[in-house]
Amino acid sequence: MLTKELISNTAAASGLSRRRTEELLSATVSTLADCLRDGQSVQLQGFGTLELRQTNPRTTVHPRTKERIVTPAKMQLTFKPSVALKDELKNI
Amino acid sequence: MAADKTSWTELRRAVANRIGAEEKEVALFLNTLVPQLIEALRTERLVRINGLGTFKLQQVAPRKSVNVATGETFVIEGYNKVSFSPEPAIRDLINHQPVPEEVRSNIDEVIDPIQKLGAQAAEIVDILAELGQDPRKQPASPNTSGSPESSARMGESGGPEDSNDDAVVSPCPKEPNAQVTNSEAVQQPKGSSISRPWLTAGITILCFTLLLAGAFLFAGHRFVQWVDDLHERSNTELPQPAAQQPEIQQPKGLTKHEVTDTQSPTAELINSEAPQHEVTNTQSPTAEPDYSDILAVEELHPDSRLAWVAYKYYGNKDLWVFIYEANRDVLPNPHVIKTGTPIRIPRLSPELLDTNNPETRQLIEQKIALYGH
Repeated sequence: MLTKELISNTAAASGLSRRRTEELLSATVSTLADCLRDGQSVQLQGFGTLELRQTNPRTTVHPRTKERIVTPAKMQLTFKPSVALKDELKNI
Repeated sequence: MAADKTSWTELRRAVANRIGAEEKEVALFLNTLVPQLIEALRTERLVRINGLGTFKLQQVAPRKSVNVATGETFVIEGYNKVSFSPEPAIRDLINHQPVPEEVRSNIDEVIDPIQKLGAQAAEIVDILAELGQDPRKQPASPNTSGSPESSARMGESGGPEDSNDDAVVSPCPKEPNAQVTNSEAVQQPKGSSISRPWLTAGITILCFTLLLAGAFLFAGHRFVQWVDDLHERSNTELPQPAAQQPEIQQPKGLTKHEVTDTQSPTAELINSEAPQHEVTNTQSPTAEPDYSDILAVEELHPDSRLAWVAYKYYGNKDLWVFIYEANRDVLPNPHVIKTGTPIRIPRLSPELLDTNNPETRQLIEQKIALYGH
C-alpha cells in the first residue's frame, strides 16, 4: 500500500479530510526525521520502535578493482516491531 | 545505542508544535494511522511512507531444530516478520548530519568516505610511534573523546581481531617493515603471482612457437629441400663447365677439377664425384642416362604417381627421377600430372636400376634436389 492509499484510508477512518491527514502525515515524518537526525530513536506505540544502530569501520574489498578499502563507521536506521505487532502478524 | 528515546507522547507534542495543530487532532491522527499501517501490512504485506521508508511483511520458512535437552528434532514453523528499509534521504540524513555527543564518541570526527589502506596504515604507524606500545594492549572500547588516536584504535581493534587482515594492521614496531607489508598487501591483490601482461605475452609466444613447429613438421622438409635446391642450382652450373673441359682437354682434366673443387666448397662431394665420372666415361650409364631407349609407355591418371610407376617398372620408387627427366617435355612439374598424359618409361641400365650403387644414389639425390619431392 502506497502513501496515497494509506492517507485516504486514514482520512476515512479518522474522519479528517484527506488534505489534513496528508499534512499531518508529512509533519509526522518530518518530526521523525528530526529526531532520528539528532540521534534519538522514536517509539510508535502499538507498532514498534525506529532505532538507530552504529556500525563499526571495517576493511572490505572493492568488488571491481579488488582493492582493499576501509568502509567507514555508519549509522543505520532499523525498525523493531513491538511484541503485539509481531504476535498479530505472525501467522496470517 | 539509543540513549534517548522519543516517546509516543513526545512525538505527538512535537508534531503538534510543528504544524500548529492541537494535540488532540494529532492524537486522533496517530491513533488511526497505526492500525491502518497494521491492516495494510496484513492485507497487502507492504506499506510505503514517502520520506520514511517501506515496511514489509516477510515470510520466514519453517526449519528443523533440536531440543537441546531431549535431543529430539522438531520443526520451527514458518512465520511472518515485519521488516523496514529506510529511504535513501533519511539514510543520508542520519549519517551526514551532526550527531549528538553520545553517538559521536563512537565514531570519528572526520572520516573520509574511502581511505586507501596504505594511508591508513601510515597513520596507524605514526600513532604507534607516538604511543610506543603494542596496539593490542589498547582498550577496545572507544570511550575517549574524539581524537586521531581513537580513529587508530577503531581501526586497530578491528584489525587484530579480524584474522584475515594480517597484512593490514600487523603490529610492526618498525616503520619501513610496516610500509613494505602494506604496500605488498596493496599490490598483491592487484595482480596475480605473474602479472597479466606477461602472462598474455607468454601465451602468445607459446602459440606462435607451436604454430611454427607444426608448420615445420608438415612442410619443413620442403623448405629444407628448397634451400638445398638453391644451393644445387648455384653449384650445378659450376660442375658443368668443369665437366665439359675434360672432354676437350683430358690431360688437364684433373687439375681443372682440383681447381673447381676448391672453388665450390658447399657442393664439394657432388663436384668431386660427378665430374670424375664424366671424366672417365661421359657415356657412363651412371651419368646422365640416355632416355632414347623406351621400355614402355604409360598413360597417367590424376591419381598416378611417378613413384608408383617407377616402382612398377623398376622395383624402386626413387627411380621416378629418371622417368621425370625422360618426360620433361610433357611434365613441367613432377608433382602436377595431367590426366591422360602419356609418359615414356625409359629403359635404364642395370647400374642405374641398382639403387645400392652409391653412384646411382648420388645421381638420384642430385636429381631429387633439383626437382623437389
